Amino acid sequence: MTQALHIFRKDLRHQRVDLAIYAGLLVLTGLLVPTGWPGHHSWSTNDMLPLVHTLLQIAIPVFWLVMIARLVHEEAIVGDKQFWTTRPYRWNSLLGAKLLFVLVCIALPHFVMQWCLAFYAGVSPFQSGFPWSATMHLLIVWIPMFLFACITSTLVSTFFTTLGSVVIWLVMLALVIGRNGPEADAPYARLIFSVLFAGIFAFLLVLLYRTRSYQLGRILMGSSAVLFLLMIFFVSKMSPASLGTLLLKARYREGAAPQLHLHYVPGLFSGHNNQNSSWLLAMSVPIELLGLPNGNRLHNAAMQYHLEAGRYRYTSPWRPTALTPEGMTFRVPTEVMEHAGHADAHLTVSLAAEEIAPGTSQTTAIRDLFAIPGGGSCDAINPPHEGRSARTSVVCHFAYSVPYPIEIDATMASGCPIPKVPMQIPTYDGGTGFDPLTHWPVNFGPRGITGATRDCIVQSLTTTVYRPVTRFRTSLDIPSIRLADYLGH
Amino acid sequence: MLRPTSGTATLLGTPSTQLDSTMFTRVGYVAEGQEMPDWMTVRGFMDYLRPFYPTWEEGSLLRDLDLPDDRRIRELSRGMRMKLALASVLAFRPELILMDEPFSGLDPLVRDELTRTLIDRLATEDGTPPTVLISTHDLAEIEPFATHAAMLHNGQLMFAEPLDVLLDRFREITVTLADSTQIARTFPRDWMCPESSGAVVRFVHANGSSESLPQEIRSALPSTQSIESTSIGLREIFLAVTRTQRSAA
Repeated sequence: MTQALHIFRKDLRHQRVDLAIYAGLLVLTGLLVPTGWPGHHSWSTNDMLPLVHTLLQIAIPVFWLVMIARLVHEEAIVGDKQFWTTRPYRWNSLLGAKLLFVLVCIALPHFVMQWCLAFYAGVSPFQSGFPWSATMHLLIVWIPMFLFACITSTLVSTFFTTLGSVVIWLVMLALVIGRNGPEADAPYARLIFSVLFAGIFAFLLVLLYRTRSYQLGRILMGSSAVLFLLMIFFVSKMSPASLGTLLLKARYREGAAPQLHLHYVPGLFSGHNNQNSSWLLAMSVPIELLGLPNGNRLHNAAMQYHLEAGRYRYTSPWRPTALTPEGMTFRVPTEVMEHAGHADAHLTVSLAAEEIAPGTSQTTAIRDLFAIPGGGSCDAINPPHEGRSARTSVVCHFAYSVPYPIEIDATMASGCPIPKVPMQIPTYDGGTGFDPLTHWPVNFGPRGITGATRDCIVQSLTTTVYRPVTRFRTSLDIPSIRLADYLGH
Repeated sequence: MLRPTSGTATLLGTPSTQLDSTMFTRVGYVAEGQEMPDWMTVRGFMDYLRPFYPTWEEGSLLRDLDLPDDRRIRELSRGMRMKLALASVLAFRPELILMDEPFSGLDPLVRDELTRTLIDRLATEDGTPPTVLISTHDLAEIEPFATHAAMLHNGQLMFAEPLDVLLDRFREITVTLADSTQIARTFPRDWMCPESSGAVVRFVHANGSSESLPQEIRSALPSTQSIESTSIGLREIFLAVTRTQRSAA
């Protein structure tokens, strides 16, 4: 530990100029990010600000790579002329010192900048989403950069190796995933990836620092990238036998909520369909879910169907769906519709979803800056937003994570137009962005400030946070259906 | 530390493949072209290394080697870098010092400073000076103070023995013949780099001080009139052994 701290102090001295520049970049970012928030100072006040903000979003990751490369190359792994290899360095102290630097001098200032932004918006950053965001930063950004620096010997080679590898990897990813339309998120996938790659990265770091086998390290890093691609392929493919489907079935158990079941109402014609893409139709089929208590909703709903029309068979992957009063959203490839849409088909539908229930609603009077349930904070003193007066433009902020939907309803002054439906804040998972917040303008007032609505103000907000009830999977067998009957025009 | 492709090596009783960090508190390594933290000053470098070694005792090393405390390493000349590397090793009084081409590209004054500092510092009060292993092509530079010499050629150890024994053993033999027409076309295989000029034959012999050598010479060269044996230096020994190996190959 003493040796690690000694090396850490030396690295601090070595990179003090870098750290000063980094602090400057973070301060600039911290000042510029709020100007992009809805309802805050508009970009139009200074034409250069969006450009500066964009440049900062490029400059900071590049600077991370520069700092990490200089840090690692100070005691480089690659090469045979480094002075440290013939000095009494302990590998674990050296690795510990370098990781401590990444945590204290790169990660911490970044998170402090994010926390300042959160506090400025009136939100506590220390919520359940922060550890996840920090983990994502480490596993997606900083540790991979660190590993690239370990297997290269110069700043230029680190930069181009990292850039080239990322570009190649993204191209491969695009080729692997291909054109598949929207598919349901495989449950646990991010958790599994995180645990697996945390283990792989830890192994690589120990290998590189303990044995300095950088050639082997390069091979293993390439293999890890290929493994990551294959895992994405097998997890993201939500076809019936895929790993992603197995995970989905493990999370959403058949029969976990026996009172919930699907019901087909033949003949109910919705008349709506959307062209989801050039080859995928989104259409509503009159299927309803019975047994759902009043007020409860479905969350993360996904469906899969199997269609048999004569000798033609099609099994869809698990795809997101919605159950609306018009029916259940199906995504049907045009090719399937051409083959079986007009035929009398046998359809088997499976639904996996989470039932959520509204918590106790809480009404909050409008103030300049006020907290709402669900860890959010709303801001009612912002300048007019999208032509609305200040008092009808309320912006709510949430930090890092909104695990379940939040519903916000407004109470307006008498004589003012009442919003038809409450505002829905969808779930949000802060990843590796600079802004840790998600912002939702609660635009209740009509557009434009006219005489009739000039004094129309929001008096209070009623917030309802949904909570999970159960996860379930259920299916429905429809012996006879003609999908084309539910195609709109 | 590179893994051996074949064979083994031990340092202070420890196999080279099992060296850990504590071993480097007992072993110092100085090499030509060794990378150092260029951004540090000379003083900063020594201060940084001090906590790594429990036996650190720097004394007046920097002054003796005429190294400026506040100069950054990147601003040092090649000779000064080598002196700093040596100072940073001598300061912790290692049991073994490994030096790889320490004199390469240095001017004579710096070479002399390095050698003097090395010899001065090796003289310890308790009478157990460290071992210094110098790998070099500057044979003349080390001959005045080396105690043992070993030669590696194409991965083969050609010899390893005390220097005085080696210098005594390898001799240049000059044979003068009575009749220059009787010079043999081939010479015995253990005559290294034989050459003839008129009635004189000259070669290097690895057992030049052997009592039986005159008899061997007379057998090979019957018209031998006189035999003269002279001592040669490390450089000549190196050349003779290398050339013989090449011609044998």
